[in-house]
Amino acid sequence: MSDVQQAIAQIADIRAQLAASTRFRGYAPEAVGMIGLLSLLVVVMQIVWPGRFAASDWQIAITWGLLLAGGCAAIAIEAIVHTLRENDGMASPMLFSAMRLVLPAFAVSAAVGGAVLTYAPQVTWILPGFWQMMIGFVAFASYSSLPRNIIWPAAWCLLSGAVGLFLAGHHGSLTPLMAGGPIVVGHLAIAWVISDKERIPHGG
Amino acid sequence: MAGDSREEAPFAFNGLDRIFHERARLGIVTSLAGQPEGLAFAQLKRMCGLTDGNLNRHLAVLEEAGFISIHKDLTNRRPLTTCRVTPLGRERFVEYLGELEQALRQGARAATGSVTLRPRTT
Repeated sequence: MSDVQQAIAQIADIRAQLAASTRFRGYAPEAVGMIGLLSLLVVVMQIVWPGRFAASDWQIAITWGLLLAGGCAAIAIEAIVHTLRENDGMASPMLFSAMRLVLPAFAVSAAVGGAVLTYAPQVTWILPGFWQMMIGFVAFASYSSLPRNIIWPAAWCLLSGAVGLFLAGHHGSLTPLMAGGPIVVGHLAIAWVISDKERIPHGG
Repeated sequence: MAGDSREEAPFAFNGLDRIFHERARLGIVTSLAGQPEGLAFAQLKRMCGLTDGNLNRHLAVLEEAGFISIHKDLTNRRPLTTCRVTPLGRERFVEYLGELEQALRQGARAATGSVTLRPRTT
């Protein structure tokens, strides 16, 4: 590698460092909030018409799986469009930094969910709690590029996901509130935190 | 217009801010770039290999330009000076990096003979 190429690579490293510690404004609070409200609607429907929308753990899990996957895709598309529209020198490294956290977590969630639903449907009760914990994991990992208060919804997602897992295990099955309640609160709390208009939450 | 001036004088590199374009200050800002919580004076001194006096002098230049902020607190009854990059500093540093990268790429192309300099017709 020539000196010039090495210098260009070092500039890319510095950009990546900056991206990882700069407030990422690509996540739209409206999109996250809408998923929270949609989740609330799903919980209400499952409570009111359990026979139709929450007949089994499998049905509850697949409903939340599809809703979370769709929500994740909507948030990602919005983030990509919003960030590229800003068109400054940091758009690509910031997107890369955000996606480096989100995509592996999404892949793990999808792979574990798919495997459990396909090969071990008797333990589908673990999925909503597991997914909730993955959301908490991503929120914690994004601490340096999101408002500091993200730790509260992150902690909520992690703890409520863990409690949900143990409750579902103890109960032997899922209930609509056990599966969806933490997801509703988690999404609305994340939307509230990222709607913080403070330009850069850290430093300055 | 930035684009027009770039076309007229492709090697002017006006975006290479002199405040950043100094070895010690570049080291300071680069060290602070990945630290949203900032760095303590002693850490910064160690990372940049500067003396107290030198570091103070360069920090003053950066602070005066509004590119960093310096906070003085007491931790365990001991004074602690923390330096952080400001939003303005972050923004300008990104622009500086872009310009620096372009200068390097143009230099590399010129060295390999793929850049042709045309004399001005005015």
